[in-house]
Amino acid sequence: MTIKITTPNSGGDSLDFGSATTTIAAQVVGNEVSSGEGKLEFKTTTGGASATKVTIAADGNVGIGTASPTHKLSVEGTTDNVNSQIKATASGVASGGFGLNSTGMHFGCDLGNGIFSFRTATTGGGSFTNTGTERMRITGTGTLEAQSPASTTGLQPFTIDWKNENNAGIMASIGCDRTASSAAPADLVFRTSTSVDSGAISEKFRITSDGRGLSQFTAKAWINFNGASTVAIIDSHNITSITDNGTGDYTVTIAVDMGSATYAVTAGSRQESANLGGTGYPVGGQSGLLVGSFRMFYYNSATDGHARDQELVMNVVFGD
Amino acid sequence: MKIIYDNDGTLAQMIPAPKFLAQLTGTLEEKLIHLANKTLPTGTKYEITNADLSDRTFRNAWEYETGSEEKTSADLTEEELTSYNMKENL
Repeated sequence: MTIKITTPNSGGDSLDFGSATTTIAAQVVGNEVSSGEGKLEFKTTTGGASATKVTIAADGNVGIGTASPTHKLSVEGTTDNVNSQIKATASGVASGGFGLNSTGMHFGCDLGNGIFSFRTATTGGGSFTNTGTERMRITGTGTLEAQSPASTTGLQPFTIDWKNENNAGIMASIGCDRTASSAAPADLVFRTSTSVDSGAISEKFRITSDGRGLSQFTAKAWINFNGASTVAIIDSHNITSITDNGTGDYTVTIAVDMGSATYAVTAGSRQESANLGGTGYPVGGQSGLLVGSFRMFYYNSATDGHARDQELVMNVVFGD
Repeated sequence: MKIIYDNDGTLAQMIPAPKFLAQLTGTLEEKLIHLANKTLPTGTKYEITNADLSDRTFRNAWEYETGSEEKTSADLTEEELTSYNMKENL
């Protein structure tokens, strides 16, 4: 059965709902916009006045708060209040939503300590449901978190990439490199490109999980130690130990080995006062580099060949 | 605490870096055993000692003597070798 309301003119015809006390409580109004085009309005009554609340335009656009929707769904508020915009609730939990006001676009969640979750799916469907994989979240306390796929090593999702004006090559990038699939912590990797158009981007600097800053231009290890009397390390970085092999003869062991034994070691020292011996100056000599250690000898320039303990030794390691 | 061992007929004393020890877990002795395993060739005899070696008279003539607390260095695990980038031992 079809109920058809026909009017001889271009005005609107309505289906009215009312009662003995409220003549018109709600209306569904069909309007001819022009020949061959029409729109549908849903009206409700407030304070005795019926007004349009939802409009379905002739082109199918739906308007809430506007009689002339310009998009598939146009929502327009009349107050400077985010809550007057789009809001969603689920049974038993608080609400969340988004809206625009004079300060900007806002996304929110009213759930106590609730998260704001971003999900995507690698295959069709499920990307905006609980079945999609959560990639990033803003926690209830305001922390932005990115989630790694389970047990995946290498550069993790959610890198920060800066692209050029053509949105093509990456100029620079910061990412998280998970070096082991277990619960081991990860490194922070900084990459830059020398040729954006070719897409060539490579790692230039890395902060490891144990705090080392690795690049061609940063020290891989350093040590400051007392090599006389009670031999002791004053301070160090990426060093496990020193070995006192004999007078003025020390081996420094690196914690995380170098990539190759072609690195450089600089040495500085202060000879202990009891062995200064007139005009001589401490001189350091190196007797071979290994990826995990280097051995240094120290002697007095005025007594060539005579090793001397050094009360202060400083070594800095550069290389790969 | 330090580790002493024989290095070509001369006593060598290995002094641990405090920052390295701080990264390890376990007792101090367990940390020093780990240090010995990392640093010394597998099978090296050594001793953990708190002896005062500050008098360096005739330092190059010091010799290591086997003591009752002597230990032997062992291999690190594969995971430990990887974490230290000790590729040649893998």
